[in-house]
Amino acid sequence: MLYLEGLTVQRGNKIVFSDFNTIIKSGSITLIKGKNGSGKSTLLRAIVGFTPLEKGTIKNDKKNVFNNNEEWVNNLIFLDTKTGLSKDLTVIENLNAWSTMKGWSSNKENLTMALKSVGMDKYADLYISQSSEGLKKRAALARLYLSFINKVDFWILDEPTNELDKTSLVLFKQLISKFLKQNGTIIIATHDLTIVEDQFNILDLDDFKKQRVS
Amino acid sequence: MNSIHSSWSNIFIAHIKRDILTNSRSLLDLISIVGFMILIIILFPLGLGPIKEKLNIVSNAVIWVGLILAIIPSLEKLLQKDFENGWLDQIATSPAPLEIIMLSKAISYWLIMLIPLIITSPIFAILLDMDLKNIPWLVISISAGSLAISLIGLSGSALILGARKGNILLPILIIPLMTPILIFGVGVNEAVKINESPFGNLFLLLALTLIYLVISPFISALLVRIAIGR
Amino acid sequence: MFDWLANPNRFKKITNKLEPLLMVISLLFIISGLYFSLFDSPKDYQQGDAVRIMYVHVPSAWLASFLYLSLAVSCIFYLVWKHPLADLISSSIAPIGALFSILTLITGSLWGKPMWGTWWVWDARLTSMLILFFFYLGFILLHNAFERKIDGSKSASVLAIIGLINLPIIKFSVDWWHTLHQPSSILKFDGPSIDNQMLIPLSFMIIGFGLFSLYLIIINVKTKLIEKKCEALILKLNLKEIL
Repeated sequence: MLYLEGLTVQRGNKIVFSDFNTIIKSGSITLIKGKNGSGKSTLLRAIVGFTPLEKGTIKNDKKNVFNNNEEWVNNLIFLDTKTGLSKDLTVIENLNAWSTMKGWSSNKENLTMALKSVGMDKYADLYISQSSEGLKKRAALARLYLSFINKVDFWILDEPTNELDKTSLVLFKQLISKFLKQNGTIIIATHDLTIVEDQFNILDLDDFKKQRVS
Repeated sequence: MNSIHSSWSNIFIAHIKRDILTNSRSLLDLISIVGFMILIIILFPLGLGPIKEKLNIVSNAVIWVGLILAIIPSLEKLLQKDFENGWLDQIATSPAPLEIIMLSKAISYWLIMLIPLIITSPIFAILLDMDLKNIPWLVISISAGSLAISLIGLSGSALILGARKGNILLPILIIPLMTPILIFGVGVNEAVKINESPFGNLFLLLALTLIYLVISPFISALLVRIAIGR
Repeated sequence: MFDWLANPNRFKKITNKLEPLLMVISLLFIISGLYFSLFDSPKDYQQGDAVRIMYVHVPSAWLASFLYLSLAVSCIFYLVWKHPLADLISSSIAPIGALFSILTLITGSLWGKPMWGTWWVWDARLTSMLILFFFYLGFILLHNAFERKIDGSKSASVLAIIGLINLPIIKFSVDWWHTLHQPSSILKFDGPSIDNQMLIPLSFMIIGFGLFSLYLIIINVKTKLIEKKCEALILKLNLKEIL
């Protein structure tokens, strides 16, 4: 279980969240919705640890996650609209670079399986510079498959489905189901609530803000 | 070996491989830095006159100055590309500390940009009428100082991460920091020229490199964390 | 304790009382220092009256270095304890330190002309001072190079720390360089060894410059605090218009 307690997060000189509390159960999927600028991305980045917390703690069961930062970040996969793909490398080279960066093996079979899971296996040798936005997103989403081979408990995703077509969306939903079955926890910031078929929780940041103001 | 640390060294090497792969796709970049260096050098006989004695006197200094100037245009890209496409975010989720990854960046930059210059340095020496017998020491001194140049360059690149017009600011930030390397580097070659021991300056150059090997990854990692946290 | 100081109103109250005092005392020190240096101190047997430039040159050099140290310390406070006033202090110190380094260079040049007949000498101290000037310049430029002010503050603060670590290294290397190329050191740029009569005007000038810098820094910080308030007010007004 993930406990977010009393989170206060600042961006620049503005306070985006003040005293935010919530509990996220293991093996659940939580969709974070809110208007643009309501702080969805900031919240995700704060959970990952990119944006430091002014106040508050994030605990995974009993442990404060930032006490061992490297263990925490290795236990999660983060993805936002900036995918971290290099234009100068092919799809599979990017996946390999990412996988080895995470300290995981670069077994070619695993990588190919990962590409297959998002329908990208035939594009393995395509350069990212030549890929469309949809293909790029899928190339990045292929990383999620590696959670089934290596220990990962959390997916923190920011608008993962924006560029996906119908077929890719189906594949993405399959990945989600599989991850939930192995008790993985998923947190997704999105506008589109139809992207999940399993049971999900909603975290509405606009409601939270309205409560704070009143 | 502790499994965590063997993982770190694997990640370290994997990063270097990735950086080399990313940069080797454009052979143009590789050639341009050597080309730029030669252009800088050409200016001197054009300015001083093709008089061998004059060129010989300034040869050591010109090569070192050229080295420092030649890397500046490519430095901004060192971290900027990775920052803009989100790769820096991703490596912040790596089990290896950011400091180790920054060190790998400095080393891959050294391998990609500076090794070509080290290899072609005899050409520069000949263009400036350096005595042939002094060339081996030129190569040694550049090899010894170039890693420090790369490390300082990494810090400079991290300082301007996300700045507007950062590339104009970069020389002002970096060149003062490079002065000790210049002084000791040229010192090695000048000593050799007058048949004195180059080891004093060489030792200082290596000591500098050690200092920057420690400081630069930490400073760069700090700056990257600040940039990611925006 | 530092949180207590951080309150801008408290800062204003304390400094309001200090300001006129500082201005008067510092001017007193400078004026008497100048009097002693110009009229009451000995001529140098080699350099004649020209040595009197030392009384501005040496204190300027000291202040330029000391202010950089203060700048770096203030930046450390900002980065580690996120003290908001610390960033204002840093950006207030920087231009003053830069001006002192320029003053050092100019007085050095003026001193060099009667001494050696040239307008510039690459002696170790002047060269180090020139490099220090560029550290100041780099700080100021970097501080203003970012879209959001806070980004510039953080990056420039790290630069100041880099400078703190590197300046001793650079000074060492410049001294090394200087002895390499001038094995027989001729006249020391400081002038002859300091005796008591010179010590008094020198210390007066250093103290005077130091207190005057403090005065200028305080004024700078207060100006920036007012600027901040204005910005906040403008933001509020804009929001009101929108809503």
